[in-house]
Formats: sequence, structure tokens, C-alpha cells
Amino acid sequence: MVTESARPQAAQADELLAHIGRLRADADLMDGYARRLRATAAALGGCPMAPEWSRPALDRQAAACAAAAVRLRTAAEALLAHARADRPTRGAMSGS
Amino acid sequence: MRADGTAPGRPAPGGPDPADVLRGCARDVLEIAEGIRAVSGRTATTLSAPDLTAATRRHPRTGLAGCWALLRALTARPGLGGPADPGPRDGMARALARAGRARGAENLAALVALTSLRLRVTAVLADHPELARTPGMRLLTRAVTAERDEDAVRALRTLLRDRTAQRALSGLAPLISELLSVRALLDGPSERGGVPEGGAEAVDLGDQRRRIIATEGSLLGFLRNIEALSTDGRILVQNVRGPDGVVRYVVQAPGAAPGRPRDDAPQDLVGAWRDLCATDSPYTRSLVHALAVHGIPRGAELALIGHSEGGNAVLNLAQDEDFCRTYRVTHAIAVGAPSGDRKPADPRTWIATVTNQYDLVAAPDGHRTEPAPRADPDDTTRYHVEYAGPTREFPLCHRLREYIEHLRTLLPVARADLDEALAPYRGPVVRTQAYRLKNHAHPPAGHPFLTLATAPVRTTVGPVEVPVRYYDSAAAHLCFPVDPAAARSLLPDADWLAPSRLGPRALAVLSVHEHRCTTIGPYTEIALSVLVDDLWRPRPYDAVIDLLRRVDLRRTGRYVLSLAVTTEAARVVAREVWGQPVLRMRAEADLTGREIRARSEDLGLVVEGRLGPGLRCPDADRALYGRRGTGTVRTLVRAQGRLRLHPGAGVRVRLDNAAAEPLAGQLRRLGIDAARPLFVLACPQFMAHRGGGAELAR
Repeated sequence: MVTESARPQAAQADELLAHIGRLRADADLMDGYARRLRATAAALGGCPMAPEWSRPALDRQAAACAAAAVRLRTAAEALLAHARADRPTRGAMSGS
Repeated sequence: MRADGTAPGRPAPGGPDPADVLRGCARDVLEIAEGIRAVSGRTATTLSAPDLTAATRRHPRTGLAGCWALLRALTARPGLGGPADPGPRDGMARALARAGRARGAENLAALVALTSLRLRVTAVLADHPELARTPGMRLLTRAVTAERDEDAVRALRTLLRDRTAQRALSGLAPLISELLSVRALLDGPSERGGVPEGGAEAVDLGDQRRRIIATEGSLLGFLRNIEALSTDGRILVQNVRGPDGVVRYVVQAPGAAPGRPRDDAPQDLVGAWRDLCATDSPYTRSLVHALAVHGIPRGAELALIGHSEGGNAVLNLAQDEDFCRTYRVTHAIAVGAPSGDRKPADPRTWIATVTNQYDLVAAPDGHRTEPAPRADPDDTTRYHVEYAGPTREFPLCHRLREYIEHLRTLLPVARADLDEALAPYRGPVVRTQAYRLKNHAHPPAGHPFLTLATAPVRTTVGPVEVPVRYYDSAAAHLCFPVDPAAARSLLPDADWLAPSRLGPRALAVLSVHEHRCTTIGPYTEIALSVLVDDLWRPRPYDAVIDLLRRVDLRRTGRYVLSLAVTTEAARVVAREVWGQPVLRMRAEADLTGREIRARSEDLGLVVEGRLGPGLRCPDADRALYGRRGTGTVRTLVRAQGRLRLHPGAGVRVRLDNAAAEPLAGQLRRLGIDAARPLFVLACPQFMAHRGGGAELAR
């Protein structure tokens, strides 16, 4: 019978927490990209040479960035719940 | 006109330049695309992380929910839309990317990168609308203007992978770095390239060219030397005896000659970028080889002068510590080259740059409204000349001939300053040696089809290497059945020259060629010819049987009735080497897609239409006939491409010219001035070579 030692499992849990931290940071980044794309679309609004397609395309892509940010946060929450389930003996986990 | 009195599309007074705004936005958006790609990569890594897999085995319920949420974050739309740039070992991400593409989806990073490239293309075309006609820009705009963004990304990915398109894309100097960034976003970073190689061999200049090489040292003399060499990738080293009696050395390095092949020419975008921007380029290495072959003693004084890539290469050499330990580089002068803020390895080296603000190679971000400030006004080892030339047209404003003319007429003070700085090199030239640069890492352009022995033929514009080689051309041959009597009436008055008959009709061919890269420079040609019988022993059905013969064994050929070309070099070669009746005309052609179009305002001729389904057929090798004096000149043309036979129904000729000559009258007499061809032989890309004309005693 194979048993897993407590130490590797704890290390894996720490790794999971690191992933969760990265996902949250990436969600913030994606929100930032959405803002920058909207700002670029606004800047092109004042540019007489800007092609017609450019503003709708940038708005669409900004919306996609914002949607990606939401999904990344959702994934971070789901992983956090999993990490809690995986390390019940350590007590409540930080990061929520 | 707007209320403020400016035209739409032009900057309002005091406002930012719209093209600068577009460029800035394109840069921002590309940076965002790279950020999204990194996020996507990290999310894919998390999804396949071993810790997550192990933890999921222990607690499947929460683990699978977490994995599902991650998968949704990575692939859902709107959202990241799929993994960008999956690594070679990341099997899951690769499978997800493939699945996404199979259902027509593209990841967000790729779509944002596409937006950036489109903005950049718009900015470049706003400043330089003439670039829209270049082959590379036509390919690029065709790819990025697909109706759906996803289709455009796919077309762009295909284009950037297409090896045959690399030459045309490499010519897009102002877009090369963006194309490389976008390619990295679409396909991952390039693995190609490796260590650049270089080489050089001493070559003879030839009598005619030797006569125009300067025999006294001066700035304009050196630049004119470079211009004389810039057609074929040779460099020049001259030993000059200065006013103090010391022999010094001047290295003269030409740059890119658009539309002409070079043995050391970059083979792809990475190579083009490296030659243009990187410090360790094959060109720089080849220059070092050439100087070693020349036998310059250690410690000798050198002046390095270059244009375009050559300017970049000489600035690279001035930065090279080993090189500057071997030789004493006193001057490095770059004309029309991206200079940046480069520090020479030897602080005593005098660095000078001459830049036209509209030159997209030297200033890829477009012109600036004010001259660049001098980094250190007290620095006497730097001399930068930046000016606004009289024309924005690219590549015209990048040509060395233009720079020479501007230094002569617009910038006399700068020329005098540069000449004064070069005073130690102003004296008689005691030795001149040319070197041909080689890039051992790649086969020569067009190898093996165009690896041919050549020989110079004298013409009134200088020696021309024959066979003339065509590295990148497109053609459409419109074939019309015509009245044999009408065809006969257009041929020279000799009873031994008769049109070949195909049943009751003769065959006239209106050929349109777009030559994008040749040894005599890029040009467009429109030719009208008639299929003729063997000059001595005409036999029935020779024209049909000849289709099964090698071109050098054919008896029939096409007699060229009229030829229109767009450059002087092509006109002279066609007239003096091939004996064809030729005129120089304005014309343009786009024959690379299903929609073909060619027009010449001077001829009043338009050929346009859509090619229908085509059948692959043998290459269009042919024998062409012309006349020189009382003799007939026979020229063989060998071609290598993918020729296709199309029905002629979708293509038509339109003639809006009432004049009898040139060409128009012949088209009318043949009855093809507003006709549709019976069939069209078309090839969007092929290589060819045309030998020297052989004179026949008839």
C-alpha cells in the first residue's frame, strides 16, 4: 500500500496557493488591458485617420479582456476551494 | 474641408500627427497582445500543473471543478479564447489550440496582435501611400483585410509561414519588427536563424564600371562608388594616399537594392531584420572577411562609409571592440541607415549619419516634426544630419542617388563638413578592389534553377549580365485566336515569316508580366506577340508538336510585335540584347491573386478580370523572336513556376486609346481591343531566365 507523506502534500498545497495568487494577479492584468484598450479606442476616436473598424474592434477586445478577468477570478476561487479541501488540517486559508 | 480649414485625414493645426497617433496606438496594442499571450501561457501552465493533477486525484470533486473553471478561463469566448503559443512539450495546450482553430476560433492575443498590425499598416500607408503597390504590402493587406478577424489571423499565419512570400515581406522595412512580433504571437518565437555566417571573395569590376569609380577621395565620390555597386551586393575597398603621404583605406558598403537579387540577401524576415537592425549580421561578418582578404595591415587607418544595410554594417563594425583593436577606425559614415545612439568601441572614432526624415529604413517610425536633438552638443565625434527631403515617396527617398543629390544641392554645408572631416582621405586612389559578399548559411537566391554562368553584354546603359535572371515574377498570357491575314500584316514583310495556324486561325498572345525581383531591377511589361512558324522549314502542326519539345529544340516561336516596359534598363536590354520593338511606358499590374488587373495609362490599356478554375500545365518556356537590322534575333526563355491554364471567359481587355501606335493599333487590327481571350495561362509566382539573343540570318 502506498501512502503519501505529509510534506509533499503540503508543498503541493503551497504550489496551488501560488497558482491562485498568479491567477488573481493575471485577472488584475487583464482588467488593466481592458482599460488600456478602451483608452486606445478613445484616442483613435480623435484621430482623423483612424479606420472605422478600429474602435469597435478594440471595444470588442476590451470586453473580451474584462470577461477573461472575471473567469480567471472564478478559476482562482474554484482552486482556492479545492486547496482548502486538500489541506483541511491546516485550518482556514488566507487569500479570499 | 473641415471647419478649421484643414483637409479631412490631415492633422489639425497644432494637433498631433494622425500617423503618429496611429503608430503610438499600434505599439500600445501590440504590448497588450504580448501581455495577454503571457497570461494565456501562465493559465495553460496552471491547468497542466502536476500539483493540481495530484490534488485532483485526492479530491476529485473540488479538483475537477477547479480544472473546469481553469479550462473555461483559458478557452471561453469572449475571454482568452484558447492558449496562445503552446510550448512544444505542452501537449494539452497544443491540443486545445488545435481544437480551437479547427472550429474556426482564434485566441485573444492573436486577435489583438492583428489589430495592432492593421493600425501600423494604416499608419505606414498614411505617410507612404505608394507602398500599397509593393508586392509585400499587397500580400499583407490581402491577408489582414479578410472579412472576419479570425479569417484574417489565419490568412496572416499562412502568409508568415509561406516561404515563397518571405522575399516580398522582407522588403517591408518599416513593418519588419512588427511582423516578427506578430509572428511570434501567432506561432511562438522563431527557432530559425542560428549563428550568422558571412564571406567575401575578390571580384573584377569590369571595364565599364571601373571607368565610373572615383580616382580621388571625396565624400560624393565614395557615395557614387557605392551607388555604382549597389546593384549586385558588392562592396569596395580603396587605398587612398592622403595629403600627408600616408596610405589609408576606405571601405564602401552598399545597402539594399529593392527588386534586385543578392547572394547575401536575407532569406526571410528574421534575416532581413538582422541585417537591418542587429549588431551581428552576416553583412558585418562579410565585411570583416573582405578586409582580411584585402590585406590591410594591423593598426592601419580606416574610414567606413555605407548606405542602408551597408550603413548599419559599418556602424556595427565601429562598435566591434575586436575590429577596432585590429584597425584604427577613424570615421564611420552611415547614409540612410537606422543609426540609434551607438557608441563606437574606439572613443576617437568620428561617427556621422545622414538621414532623410521620410526614409522608412532610416527612420522606421516615420518623420519627426523637429530634428532629433543632439545627445551631447559638446561631443565633436558625432555629426548627425537629419533633414526633410523634397519627396516622401518610398523607396525613392531611400535611394542613394537621392541622398547624393540632396547632399549636392540641399545640404552643401553638411557636405562640406563631412568632406572636411574626411580630409586625411582626400587624395589619389592607389588601389581599388571590389568584393562580392557571400552568405554561406544559405544557397544563393534562386538556387538551383538560377545558378547559371553569366557573361556581361555591353549596352548603352552599361554592362548587363546575360542571361537576365528573374527571381520573383508573375505573368498572365491572354491567348486570342485571330485572323491569320491580320496577323501576317503585322509581321515584317518577308515571305519566310508566317503565323502558325491552329486550324483556320492564328494565335496572338497579350502577355502581362510583373517582375518583382530581377537582375535588371523590378519592372512591369506588356507584350503583344504572334505565334510564328519555323523560319526555314515550316511544317503543319509544328506549333502543336512543339509543345512536346524542349524549348531549345522548338521550331516555332512568338514574334514580339510590341513591348512596353516601365524602366529604362528593361527598355535598353529588350531593344539592344533581344531586338524587340520596345517603348518605355507607365504601367502597373497585380497578377498574384485570382483577380488579375493590369493597366497602362500611356497605352490606354486595361486588362482585368477573375481567373476561373485552372489546370496545371508545363512551364511556359518559350522562344521569342525580334529583329535587329536585317536579321532575326531568337531568345530562349526558361521558366520555373506553377503555370495554370484558365478559361478566358472571366478576363477582358479594354482599350481606351484611339491612337494607332503603339500597341493600340495592332490590338485593333487583330480584333482583340475589347475581346475576351480564349484561354489564359497564368502564374502568380515564377522564376525565369532569358538568354542573350542569337542572331539568325533571316
